[in-house]
Amino acid sequence: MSTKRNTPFNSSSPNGVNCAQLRELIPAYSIGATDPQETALVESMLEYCPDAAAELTDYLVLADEFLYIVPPTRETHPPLDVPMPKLPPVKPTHEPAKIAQAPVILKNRPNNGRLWVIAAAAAITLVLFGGINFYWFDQVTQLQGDQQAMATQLATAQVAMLPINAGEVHHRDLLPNQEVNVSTNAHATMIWNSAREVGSLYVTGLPPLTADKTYQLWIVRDGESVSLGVFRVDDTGTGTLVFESPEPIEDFQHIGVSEEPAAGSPAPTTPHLVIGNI
Amino acid sequence: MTNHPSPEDIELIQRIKQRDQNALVEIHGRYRNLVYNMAMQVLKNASSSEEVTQDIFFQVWRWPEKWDPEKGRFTSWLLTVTRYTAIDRLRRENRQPPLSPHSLDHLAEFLAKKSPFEDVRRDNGRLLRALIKELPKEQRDIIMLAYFRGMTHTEIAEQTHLPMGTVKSRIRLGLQKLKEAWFEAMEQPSTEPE
Repeated sequence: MSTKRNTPFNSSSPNGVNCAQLRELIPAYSIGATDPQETALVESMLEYCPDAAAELTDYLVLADEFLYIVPPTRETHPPLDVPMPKLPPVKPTHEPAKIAQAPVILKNRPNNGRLWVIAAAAAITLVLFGGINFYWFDQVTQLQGDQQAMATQLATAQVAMLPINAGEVHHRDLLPNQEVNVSTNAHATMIWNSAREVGSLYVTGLPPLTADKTYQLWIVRDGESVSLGVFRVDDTGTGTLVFESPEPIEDFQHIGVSEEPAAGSPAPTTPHLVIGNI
Repeated sequence: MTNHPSPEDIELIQRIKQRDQNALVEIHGRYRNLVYNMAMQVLKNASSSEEVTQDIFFQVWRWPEKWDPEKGRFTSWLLTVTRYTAIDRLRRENRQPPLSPHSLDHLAEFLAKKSPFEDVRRDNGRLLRALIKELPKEQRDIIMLAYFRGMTHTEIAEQTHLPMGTVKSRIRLGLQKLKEAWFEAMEQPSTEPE
Protein backbone atom coordinates (compact mmCIF):
# COMPACT_ATOMS: atom_id res chain seq x y z
CA MET A 1 0.00 0.00 0.00
CA SER A 2 1.38 3.37 -0.97
CA THR A 3 2.12 5.69 1.92
CA LYS A 4 0.11 8.89 1.75
CA ARG A 5 1.92 12.04 2.77
CA ASN A 6 0.76 15.60 3.34
CA THR A 7 4.11 17.20 4.05
CA PRO A 8 5.29 19.67 1.39
CA PHE A 9 8.04 18.30 -0.83
CA ASN A 10 10.57 20.98 0.13
CA SER A 11 10.16 20.43 3.83
CA SER A 12 13.01 20.37 6.27
CA SER A 13 13.12 18.43 9.50
CA PRO A 14 13.06 20.39 12.77
CA ASN A 15 16.80 19.94 13.18
CA GLY A 16 17.56 21.61 9.87
CA VAL A 17 18.33 18.56 7.75
CA ASN A 18 17.24 19.12 4.17
CA CYS A 19 14.65 16.43 3.69
CA ALA A 20 13.78 17.66 0.20
CA GLN A 21 17.32 16.89 -0.92
CA LEU A 22 17.00 13.46 0.62
CA ARG A 23 13.69 12.73 -1.06
CA GLU A 24 15.18 13.50 -4.44
CA LEU A 25 17.69 10.72 -3.88
CA ILE A 26 15.27 8.14 -2.49
CA PRO A 27 14.16 6.61 -5.84
CA ALA A 28 17.72 6.08 -7.06
CA TYR A 29 18.81 4.86 -3.63
CA SER A 30 16.10 2.18 -3.64
CA ILE A 31 17.60 0.50 -6.71
CA GLY A 32 21.22 1.07 -5.73
CA ALA A 33 21.90 3.81 -8.28
CA THR A 34 23.24 6.42 -5.87
CA ASP A 35 26.97 7.15 -5.79
CA PRO A 36 28.78 6.20 -2.56
CA GLN A 37 28.68 9.71 -1.10
CA GLU A 38 24.97 10.02 -1.95
CA THR A 39 24.32 6.64 -0.35
CA ALA A 40 26.10 7.78 2.81
CA LEU A 41 24.09 11.00 2.80
CA VAL A 42 20.77 9.14 2.49
CA GLU A 43 21.66 6.71 5.24
CA SER A 44 22.77 9.44 7.61
CA MET A 45 19.68 11.61 7.06
CA LEU A 46 16.90 9.03 6.97
CA GLU A 47 16.26 9.01 10.68
CA TYR A 48 15.59 12.78 10.61
CA CYS A 49 13.10 12.62 7.72
CA PRO A 50 10.29 10.18 8.54
CA ASP A 51 8.37 11.05 5.38
CA ALA A 52 11.37 10.17 3.26
CA ALA A 53 11.83 6.95 5.20
CA ALA A 54 8.19 6.04 4.55
CA GLU A 55 8.61 6.86 0.90
CA LEU A 56 11.68 4.66 0.77
CA THR A 57 9.59 1.76 2.07
CA ASP A 58 7.31 2.11 -0.94
CA TYR A 59 10.22 2.30 -3.34
CA LEU A 60 11.77 -0.78 -1.80
CA VAL A 61 8.54 -2.69 -2.39
CA LEU A 62 8.76 -1.66 -6.02
CA ALA A 63 12.44 -2.60 -6.20
CA ASP A 64 11.55 -6.04 -4.83
CA GLU A 65 9.07 -6.51 -7.65
CA PHE A 66 11.81 -5.71 -10.17
CA LEU A 67 13.39 -9.02 -9.21
CA TYR A 68 10.52 -10.86 -10.82
CA ILE A 69 10.56 -9.33 -14.26
CA VAL A 70 13.66 -11.11 -15.49
CA PRO A 71 12.91 -13.04 -18.66
CA PRO A 72 13.37 -16.81 -18.77
CA THR A 73 16.75 -17.02 -20.48
CA ARG A 74 16.69 -20.62 -19.41
CA GLU A 75 13.30 -22.21 -18.84
CA THR A 76 12.32 -22.47 -15.21
CA HIS A 77 10.16 -25.50 -15.14
CA PRO A 78 11.74 -28.31 -17.17
CA PRO A 79 14.04 -29.87 -14.60
CA LEU A 80 16.53 -31.36 -17.05
CA ASP A 81 19.26 -29.46 -18.86
CA VAL A 82 20.12 -32.52 -20.94
CA PRO A 83 17.83 -34.09 -23.48
CA MET A 84 15.96 -37.10 -22.28
CA PRO A 85 17.07 -40.31 -24.00
CA LYS A 86 14.57 -41.64 -26.47
CA LEU A 87 12.93 -44.62 -24.93
CA PRO A 88 11.83 -47.50 -27.15
CA PRO A 89 8.11 -47.73 -27.72
CA VAL A 90 6.43 -50.10 -25.34
CA LYS A 91 4.39 -52.83 -26.94
CA PRO A 92 1.14 -53.59 -25.19
CA THR A 93 0.76 -57.17 -24.03
CA HIS A 94 -2.95 -57.08 -24.75
CA GLU A 95 -4.09 -57.21 -28.32
CA PRO A 96 -6.43 -54.36 -29.08
CA ALA A 97 -10.00 -55.57 -29.14
CA LYS A 98 -11.35 -56.21 -32.60
CA ILE A 99 -14.69 -54.55 -32.78
CA ALA A 100 -17.18 -56.31 -34.95
CA GLN A 101 -19.30 -54.34 -37.35
CA ALA A 102 -22.32 -53.19 -35.45
CA PRO A 103 -25.37 -55.13 -36.51
CA VAL A 104 -28.15 -53.21 -38.14
CA ILE A 105 -31.16 -53.00 -35.92
CA LEU A 106 -34.36 -52.78 -37.79
CA LYS A 107 -36.85 -50.25 -36.61
CA ASN A 108 -39.88 -51.50 -34.70
CA ARG A 109 -38.53 -54.98 -34.60
CA PRO A 110 -37.08 -55.50 -31.15
CA ASN A 111 -34.91 -58.57 -30.90
CA ASN A 112 -33.99 -59.35 -27.30
CA GLY A 113 -31.44 -62.03 -28.19
CA ARG A 114 -29.53 -59.75 -30.54
CA LEU A 115 -29.62 -56.90 -27.99
CA TRP A 116 -28.13 -59.21 -25.40
CA VAL A 117 -25.27 -60.10 -27.76
CA ILE A 118 -24.60 -56.43 -28.47
CA ALA A 119 -24.63 -55.60 -24.76
CA ALA A 120 -22.22 -58.45 -24.03
CA ALA A 121 -19.88 -57.34 -26.85
CA ALA A 122 -19.97 -53.79 -25.54
CA ALA A 123 -19.17 -54.97 -22.02
CA ILE A 124 -16.23 -57.08 -23.23
CA THR A 125 -14.97 -54.16 -25.30
CA LEU A 126 -15.20 -51.85 -22.29
CA VAL A 127 -13.27 -54.31 -20.14
CA LEU A 128 -10.57 -54.66 -22.81
CA PHE A 129 -10.26 -50.91 -23.28
CA GLY A 130 -10.15 -50.49 -19.53
CA GLY A 131 -7.32 -53.00 -19.32
CA ILE A 132 -5.38 -51.32 -22.11
CA ASN A 133 -5.88 -47.90 -20.55
CA PHE A 134 -4.72 -49.20 -17.21
CA TYR A 135 -1.66 -50.71 -18.89
CA TRP A 136 -0.72 -47.43 -20.59
CA PHE A 137 -1.41 -45.45 -17.44
CA ASP A 138 0.98 -47.77 -15.63
CA GLN A 139 3.62 -47.32 -18.36
CA VAL A 140 3.31 -43.54 -18.32
CA THR A 141 3.53 -43.47 -14.54
CA GLN A 142 6.65 -45.62 -14.67
CA LEU A 143 8.27 -43.37 -17.29
CA GLN A 144 7.44 -40.30 -15.22
CA GLY A 145 9.06 -42.00 -12.24
CA ASP A 146 12.17 -42.76 -14.32
CA GLN A 147 12.31 -39.17 -15.50
CA GLN A 148 12.00 -37.89 -11.93
CA ALA A 149 14.79 -40.23 -10.82
CA MET A 150 17.04 -38.99 -13.63
CA ALA A 151 16.27 -35.39 -12.76
CA THR A 152 17.13 -36.07 -9.12
CA GLN A 153 20.39 -37.73 -10.12
CA LEU A 154 21.28 -34.83 -12.37
CA ALA A 155 20.49 -32.31 -9.63
CA THR A 156 22.57 -34.36 -7.22
CA ALA A 157 25.51 -34.31 -9.61
CA GLN A 158 25.13 -30.56 -10.09
CA VAL A 159 25.14 -29.97 -6.37
CA ALA A 160 28.31 -32.02 -6.12
CA MET A 161 29.94 -29.54 -8.50
CA LEU A 162 29.17 -26.51 -6.34
CA PRO A 163 32.59 -26.18 -4.66
CA ILE A 164 34.60 -26.05 -7.84
CA ASN A 165 33.71 -22.52 -8.73
CA ALA A 166 37.04 -20.83 -8.15
CA GLY A 167 40.55 -21.51 -6.90
CA GLU A 168 42.72 -24.54 -7.33
CA VAL A 169 40.55 -27.58 -7.89
CA HIS A 170 41.64 -31.18 -7.37
CA HIS A 171 39.85 -34.42 -7.91
CA ARG A 172 40.51 -38.04 -7.03
CA ASP A 173 38.66 -41.24 -7.86
CA LEU A 174 37.82 -43.71 -5.13
CA LEU A 175 37.62 -47.32 -6.27
CA PRO A 176 36.24 -50.47 -4.59
CA ASN A 177 38.43 -51.82 -1.81
CA GLN A 178 39.54 -55.27 -3.00
CA GLU A 179 39.74 -56.50 0.57
CA VAL A 180 36.04 -56.14 1.32
CA ASN A 181 32.91 -57.45 -0.29
CA VAL A 182 31.61 -54.45 -2.21
CA SER A 183 30.14 -54.15 -5.69
CA THR A 184 32.68 -53.58 -8.42
CA ASN A 185 30.35 -50.84 -9.65
CA ALA A 186 30.96 -48.80 -6.51
CA HIS A 187 32.76 -45.59 -7.38
CA ALA A 188 33.25 -42.16 -5.93
CA THR A 189 34.80 -38.93 -7.10
CA MET A 190 36.07 -36.42 -4.60
CA ILE A 191 36.52 -32.83 -5.75
CA TRP A 192 37.99 -30.18 -3.54
CA ASN A 193 39.10 -26.63 -3.75
CA SER A 194 42.35 -26.04 -1.92
CA ALA A 195 41.82 -22.28 -1.85
CA ARG A 196 38.63 -22.67 0.16
CA GLU A 197 39.19 -26.06 1.79
CA VAL A 198 35.78 -27.12 0.62
CA GLY A 199 34.82 -30.00 -1.59
CA SER A 200 32.30 -32.58 -2.52
CA LEU A 201 32.01 -36.31 -2.94
CA TYR A 202 29.86 -37.87 -5.62
CA VAL A 203 29.15 -41.54 -5.10
CA THR A 204 27.54 -44.17 -7.28
CA GLY A 205 27.00 -47.90 -6.86
CA LEU A 206 27.00 -48.13 -3.07
CA PRO A 207 24.14 -50.15 -1.57
CA PRO A 208 21.36 -48.18 0.15
CA LEU A 209 21.57 -48.49 3.93
CA THR A 210 19.02 -49.10 6.65
CA ALA A 211 17.97 -46.10 8.75
CA ASP A 212 20.41 -46.93 11.55
CA LYS A 213 23.45 -46.76 9.23
CA THR A 214 25.22 -44.09 7.25
CA TYR A 215 28.27 -43.68 5.06
CA GLN A 216 31.15 -41.59 6.34
CA LEU A 217 33.98 -39.98 4.38
CA TRP A 218 37.47 -40.00 5.86
CA ILE A 219 40.83 -38.53 5.04
CA VAL A 220 43.72 -40.47 6.50
CA ARG A 221 47.19 -39.34 7.53
CA ASP A 222 49.70 -41.70 9.16
CA GLY A 223 46.91 -43.94 10.34
CA GLU A 224 44.88 -41.06 11.82
CA SER A 225 41.42 -40.61 10.27
CA VAL A 226 39.62 -37.28 10.09
CA SER A 227 35.92 -37.26 9.23
CA LEU A 228 34.67 -35.02 6.44
CA GLY A 229 31.02 -35.87 7.04
CA VAL A 230 28.29 -38.43 6.65
CA PHE A 231 25.95 -39.06 3.77
CA ARG A 232 23.39 -41.52 2.48
CA VAL A 233 22.69 -42.85 -0.98
CA ASP A 234 19.35 -43.10 -2.75
CA ASP A 235 17.74 -46.23 -4.15
CA THR A 236 20.06 -46.12 -7.15
CA GLY A 237 23.16 -46.01 -4.95
CA THR A 238 23.86 -42.36 -5.75
CA GLY A 239 24.73 -39.78 -3.12
CA THR A 240 26.68 -36.59 -2.52
CA LEU A 241 28.45 -34.93 0.33
CA VAL A 242 29.50 -31.29 0.34
CA PHE A 243 32.14 -30.79 3.02
CA GLU A 244 34.50 -28.32 4.60
CA SER A 245 37.84 -29.75 5.61
CA PRO A 246 39.25 -28.74 8.99
CA GLU A 247 42.79 -29.09 7.61
CA PRO A 248 44.42 -28.85 4.17
CA ILE A 249 43.47 -32.03 2.35
CA GLU A 250 46.85 -32.15 0.62
CA ASP A 251 48.41 -32.92 4.04
CA PHE A 252 46.68 -36.32 4.03
CA GLN A 253 47.57 -39.49 2.14
CA HIS A 254 44.35 -41.45 1.65
CA ILE A 255 40.60 -41.07 1.26
CA GLY A 256 38.03 -43.68 2.19
CA VAL A 257 34.34 -44.25 2.76
CA SER A 258 33.12 -46.59 5.47
CA GLU A 259 29.76 -47.74 6.76
CA GLU A 260 29.02 -46.34 10.21
CA PRO A 261 26.16 -45.94 12.72
CA ALA A 262 23.60 -43.30 11.70
CA ALA A 263 25.15 -40.46 13.69
CA GLY A 264 28.64 -41.17 12.35
CA SER A 265 31.69 -42.27 14.30
CA PRO A 266 34.74 -40.47 15.69
CA ALA A 267 36.89 -43.02 13.85
CA PRO A 268 36.10 -45.71 11.26
CA THR A 269 34.52 -48.82 12.76
CA THR A 270 34.40 -50.82 9.52
CA PRO A 271 36.84 -51.17 6.63
CA HIS A 272 36.70 -48.62 3.83
CA LEU A 273 34.43 -49.68 0.99
CA VAL A 274 35.94 -47.35 -1.61
CA ILE A 275 39.43 -45.93 -1.33
CA GLY A 276 41.74 -43.54 -3.08
CA ASN A 277 45.10 -41.83 -2.70
CA ILE A 278 45.57 -38.09 -2.36
CA MET B 1 0.90 -8.89 -3.49
CA THR B 2 2.19 -11.44 -1.00
CA ASN B 3 5.35 -11.17 1.03
CA HIS B 4 4.83 -14.32 3.01
CA PRO B 5 7.54 -16.91 2.57
CA SER B 6 6.29 -20.26 1.34
CA PRO B 7 6.15 -23.06 3.92
CA GLU B 8 8.08 -25.29 1.50
CA ASP B 9 10.98 -22.83 1.37
CA ILE B 10 11.02 -22.49 5.13
CA GLU B 11 11.11 -26.26 5.51
CA LEU B 12 13.86 -26.69 2.91
CA ILE B 13 16.06 -24.06 4.54
CA GLN B 14 15.42 -25.62 7.92
CA ARG B 15 16.59 -28.96 6.54
CA ILE B 16 19.66 -27.33 5.01
CA LYS B 17 20.48 -25.87 8.42
CA GLN B 18 20.40 -29.45 9.68
CA ARG B 19 22.87 -30.30 6.88
CA ASP B 20 20.36 -32.35 4.87
CA GLN B 21 21.92 -32.47 1.43
CA ASN B 22 18.74 -33.75 -0.17
CA ALA B 23 17.18 -30.41 0.75
CA LEU B 24 20.01 -28.65 -1.06
CA VAL B 25 19.43 -30.86 -4.09
CA GLU B 26 15.74 -29.98 -3.95
CA ILE B 27 16.20 -26.24 -3.57
CA HIS B 28 18.86 -26.27 -6.27
CA GLY B 29 16.53 -28.10 -8.64
CA ARG B 30 13.72 -25.72 -7.82
CA TYR B 31 15.50 -22.40 -8.21
CA ARG B 32 18.69 -22.90 -10.22
CA ASN B 33 17.18 -21.63 -13.45
CA LEU B 34 15.71 -18.63 -11.69
CA VAL B 35 19.13 -17.74 -10.30
CA TYR B 36 20.79 -18.39 -13.63
CA ASN B 37 18.30 -16.14 -15.43
CA MET B 38 19.00 -13.25 -13.07
CA ALA B 39 22.78 -13.76 -13.36
CA MET B 40 22.48 -13.92 -17.14
CA GLN B 41 20.46 -10.71 -17.19
CA VAL B 42 23.33 -8.93 -15.48
CA LEU B 43 26.37 -10.70 -16.91
CA LYS B 44 25.30 -11.57 -20.45
CA ASN B 45 27.72 -14.46 -20.35
CA ALA B 46 26.66 -18.09 -19.98
CA SER B 47 29.75 -19.49 -18.27
CA SER B 48 30.00 -16.60 -15.80
CA SER B 49 26.30 -17.00 -15.06
CA GLU B 50 26.77 -20.73 -14.41
CA GLU B 51 29.58 -19.95 -12.01
CA VAL B 52 27.54 -17.34 -10.18
CA THR B 53 24.67 -19.85 -9.96
CA GLN B 54 26.97 -22.43 -8.38
CA ASP B 55 28.35 -19.84 -6.02
CA ILE B 56 24.89 -18.76 -4.89
CA PHE B 57 23.82 -22.27 -3.98
CA PHE B 58 27.08 -22.86 -2.25
CA GLN B 59 26.35 -19.75 -0.19
CA VAL B 60 22.87 -21.10 0.59
CA TRP B 61 24.49 -24.31 1.83
CA ARG B 62 27.10 -22.60 3.95
CA TRP B 63 25.04 -19.75 5.36
CA PRO B 64 21.35 -20.72 5.21
CA GLU B 65 20.70 -18.59 8.29
CA LYS B 66 21.31 -15.48 6.20
CA TRP B 67 17.78 -15.70 4.89
CA ASP B 68 15.36 -14.37 7.50
CA PRO B 69 11.79 -15.48 6.70
CA GLU B 70 10.53 -12.54 8.78
CA LYS B 71 11.97 -10.16 6.19
CA GLY B 72 10.38 -11.62 3.08
CA ARG B 73 10.25 -14.40 0.57
CA PHE B 74 13.14 -16.76 -0.03
CA THR B 75 13.07 -16.05 -3.77
CA SER B 76 13.38 -12.31 -3.19
CA TRP B 77 16.39 -12.85 -0.97
CA LEU B 78 17.89 -15.36 -3.39
CA LEU B 79 17.44 -13.08 -6.39
CA THR B 80 18.76 -10.07 -4.51
CA VAL B 81 21.90 -11.96 -3.49
CA THR B 82 22.26 -13.20 -7.06
CA ARG B 83 21.90 -9.73 -8.50
CA TYR B 84 24.51 -8.26 -6.18
CA THR B 85 26.87 -11.21 -6.68
CA ALA B 86 26.59 -10.90 -10.44
CA ILE B 87 27.12 -7.13 -10.31
CA ASP B 88 30.15 -7.63 -8.05
CA ARG B 89 31.54 -10.08 -10.53
CA LEU B 90 30.97 -7.66 -13.37
CA ARG B 91 32.94 -5.05 -11.42
CA ARG B 92 35.73 -7.47 -10.51
CA GLU B 93 36.08 -8.44 -14.14
CA ASN B 94 36.17 -4.74 -14.87
CA ARG B 95 33.86 -5.09 -17.78
CA GLN B 96 30.45 -3.88 -18.77
CA PRO B 97 28.52 -5.52 -21.57
CA PRO B 98 28.63 -3.12 -24.54
CA LEU B 99 26.33 -0.15 -24.28
CA SER B 100 25.25 0.36 -27.84
CA PRO B 101 21.80 1.62 -28.72
CA HIS B 102 21.11 -1.96 -29.73
CA SER B 103 21.98 -3.27 -26.28
CA LEU B 104 19.77 -0.65 -24.67
CA ASP B 105 16.95 -1.86 -26.88
CA HIS B 106 17.79 -5.40 -25.85
CA LEU B 107 17.51 -4.46 -22.20
CA ALA B 108 14.02 -3.21 -22.79
CA GLU B 109 13.14 -6.08 -25.12
CA PHE B 110 12.52 -8.52 -22.32
CA LEU B 111 9.67 -6.42 -21.07
CA ALA B 112 7.52 -8.09 -23.68
CA LYS B 113 8.57 -11.61 -22.73
CA LYS B 114 6.70 -14.02 -20.54
CA SER B 115 7.65 -14.17 -16.90
CA PRO B 116 9.03 -17.51 -15.68
CA PHE B 117 6.80 -17.40 -12.62
CA GLU B 118 3.57 -19.31 -12.46
CA ASP B 119 2.13 -17.94 -9.25
CA VAL B 120 1.02 -14.53 -8.05
CA ARG B 121 4.46 -13.21 -8.98
CA ARG B 122 3.59 -13.82 -12.61
CA ASP B 123 0.71 -11.36 -12.50
CA ASN B 124 2.75 -8.78 -10.60
CA GLY B 125 5.68 -9.26 -12.95
CA ARG B 126 3.41 -8.88 -15.96
CA LEU B 127 1.88 -5.74 -14.51
CA LEU B 128 5.22 -4.17 -13.70
CA ARG B 129 6.60 -5.01 -17.13
CA ALA B 130 3.58 -3.34 -18.71
CA LEU B 131 4.07 -0.26 -16.54
CA ILE B 132 7.77 -0.07 -17.35
CA LYS B 133 6.96 -0.28 -21.04
CA GLU B 134 4.78 2.79 -20.68
CA LEU B 135 7.66 4.89 -19.41
CA PRO B 136 9.42 7.17 -21.89
CA LYS B 137 12.26 5.20 -23.46
CA GLU B 138 14.98 7.48 -22.15
CA GLN B 139 13.79 6.97 -18.56
CA ARG B 140 13.26 3.25 -18.99
CA ASP B 141 16.70 2.59 -20.45
CA ILE B 142 18.50 4.36 -17.64
CA ILE B 143 16.49 2.64 -14.93
CA MET B 144 17.31 -0.71 -16.53
CA LEU B 145 21.01 0.19 -16.62
CA ALA B 146 20.97 1.15 -12.98
CA TYR B 147 19.09 -1.91 -11.85
CA PHE B 148 20.54 -4.73 -13.95
CA ARG B 149 24.05 -3.41 -14.45
CA GLY B 150 24.40 -2.01 -10.95
CA MET B 151 25.51 1.35 -12.33
CA THR B 152 25.40 4.51 -10.25
CA HIS B 153 24.53 8.04 -11.38
CA THR B 154 28.15 8.82 -12.18
CA GLU B 155 28.78 5.57 -14.03
CA ILE B 156 25.67 5.96 -16.15
CA ALA B 157 26.59 9.55 -16.99
CA GLU B 158 30.05 8.41 -18.08
CA GLN B 159 28.77 5.51 -20.12
CA THR B 160 25.94 7.34 -21.83
CA HIS B 161 27.71 10.74 -22.12
CA LEU B 162 24.64 12.40 -20.63
CA PRO B 163 24.87 15.25 -18.11
CA MET B 164 24.70 14.06 -14.51
CA GLY B 165 21.57 16.13 -13.86
CA THR B 166 19.80 14.45 -16.77
CA VAL B 167 20.67 10.99 -15.50
CA LYS B 168 19.44 11.82 -12.01
CA SER B 169 16.20 13.36 -13.16
CA ARG B 170 15.44 10.50 -15.55
CA ILE B 171 15.86 7.91 -12.83
CA ARG B 172 13.90 9.95 -10.30
CA LEU B 173 11.01 10.83 -12.60
CA GLY B 174 10.81 7.34 -14.09
CA LEU B 175 10.70 5.64 -10.72
CA GLN B 176 8.24 8.17 -9.33
CA LYS B 177 5.85 7.47 -12.19
CA LEU B 178 6.36 3.77 -11.85
CA LYS B 179 5.72 3.80 -8.12
CA GLU B 180 2.53 5.84 -8.42
CA ALA B 181 1.23 3.63 -11.25
CA TRP B 182 2.19 0.47 -9.39
CA PHE B 183 0.41 1.31 -6.16
CA GLU B 184 -2.57 2.67 -8.01
CA ALA B 185 -2.89 -0.62 -9.87
CA MET B 186 -2.42 -2.58 -6.65
CA GLU B 187 -5.23 -0.68 -4.98
CA GLN B 188 -7.68 -1.53 -7.75
CA PRO B 189 -9.74 -4.69 -7.22
CA SER B 190 -8.68 -7.59 -9.41
CA THR B 191 -10.86 -8.12 -12.45
CA GLU B 192 -9.78 -11.72 -12.84
CA PRO B 193 -12.07 -14.51 -11.64
CA GLU B 194 -11.25 -16.02 -8.28
